[in-house]
Amino acid sequence: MLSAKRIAPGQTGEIQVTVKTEGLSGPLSKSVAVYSNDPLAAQVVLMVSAVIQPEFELKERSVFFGSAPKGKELSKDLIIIIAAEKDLKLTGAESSDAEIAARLEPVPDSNGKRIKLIVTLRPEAKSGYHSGTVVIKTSSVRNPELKIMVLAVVSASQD
Amino acid sequence: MRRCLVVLCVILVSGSFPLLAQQKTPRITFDSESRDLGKVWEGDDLKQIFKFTNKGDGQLEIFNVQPG
Repeated sequence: MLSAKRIAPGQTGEIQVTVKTEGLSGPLSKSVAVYSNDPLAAQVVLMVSAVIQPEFELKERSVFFGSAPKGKELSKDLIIIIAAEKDLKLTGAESSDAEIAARLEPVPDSNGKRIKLIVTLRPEAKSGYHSGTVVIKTSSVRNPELKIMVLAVVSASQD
Repeated sequence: MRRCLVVLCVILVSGSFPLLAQQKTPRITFDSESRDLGKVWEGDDLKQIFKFTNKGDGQLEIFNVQPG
């Protein structure tokens, strides 16, 4: 955002640069090019750099059960790590698919900073393709929800 | 002949000085052109204001501000 397009000699102007960091992690560098009628600096490149730290660290954002035989219960675990500097909690987990269950369990001796998400495909799951989302509620203002995609294909029983 | 050429050059050069003096040029000068914000939390909006001054004697015109 530019304060004024024309600046008289001796006067000042401002350029506001906003970088959104939602969904990003690690080193970040953004540039903005400013074009003017200055013959010696017709283009000036402004840089903003930072290292984005996630409040919640997940190695995966999806759970894929693959092809599961009907009548069999399957479970997968995901570890969620809460940033040590943050006093944050995971307050619950819900699945959008009734045949996929999700629950949270603290990892022992982790001081509440490591939480295990256990995603279960229920044995009563009907044959066919199951696609759902597990929503984990958090106490964070920045990230009130974490979403995990869950996929499973339940094949018909062979008996 | 050579002297005539020298005189002609002197006249031309001295004649162009007033023109050069009349050309006013803008000069864009930023307080800083880069910011390292160090560690920030995901979800934060990083708002930065870059201040610049026209240190020339001509009017500065900003044609475009283009995110990279």
